[in-house]
Amino acid sequence: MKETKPAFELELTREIAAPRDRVFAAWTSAEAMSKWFAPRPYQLVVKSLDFRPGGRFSMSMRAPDGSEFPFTGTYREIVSPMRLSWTGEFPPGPPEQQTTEVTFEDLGGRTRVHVRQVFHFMTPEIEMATKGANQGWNMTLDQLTEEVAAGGR
Amino acid sequence: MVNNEAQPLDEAFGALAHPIRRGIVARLAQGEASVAELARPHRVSAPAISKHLRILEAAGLLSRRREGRVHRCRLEVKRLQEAQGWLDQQRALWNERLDALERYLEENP
Repeated sequence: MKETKPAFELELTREIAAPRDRVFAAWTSAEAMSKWFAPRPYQLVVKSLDFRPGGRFSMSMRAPDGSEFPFTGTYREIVSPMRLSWTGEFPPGPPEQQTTEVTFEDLGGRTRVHVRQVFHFMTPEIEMATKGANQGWNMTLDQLTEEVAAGGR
Repeated sequence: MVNNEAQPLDEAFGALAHPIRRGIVARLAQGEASVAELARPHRVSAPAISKHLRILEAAGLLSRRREGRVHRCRLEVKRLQEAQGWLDQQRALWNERLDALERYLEENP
């Protein structure tokens, strides 16, 4: 069958008041990443991080109650200090569930960070079905309300 | 932010990770279908289709009912909406993550 394109793409852009080399460096080591990659109150636990194209990483986000949410991945492209991409998965799911690309644009002392994450298990049809189903359900409820109102007359 | 009921979602994402199963889900999004109707666009054996349907069923994405001799399949939209909700949370997570990156760079000049 024809492989349908993934639909679920997440894109974010942020301007950060720091030079590009420093912003890029924050993504390249376990030491730096553990200070910010898991937002509060979570804590990043880096089990391994092999920062080179084809290198694997294994991390988890630890919640205050001690529960951990592991994720693993493989670095794909590393073009210091401009571009970084990896594929990742949430075990025990299948490999390469998502692709993340991060670009770093030099704005002269400031940096524009652009994150694009694609989840490969969703398609436009599935996404539409999910959202459409909601509308369909609302429509059914509206019709029911109308019918009840009409019957009450 | 992070879903505490990650297990069923893992199964849903795992089930959706196969192109044939995505095709089946996309077809069911248009309405109920028989097993034969679901199999038609795919060049695979009947046992293979059955296996895909069982995986979707186990992941809570599909349910079946009997209509005479025919099994009718329908999409379980609730599980799909949970998956969508989880994906929407990922956006919130990235926003918080970039906030934390900004703070980190400010505090470590």
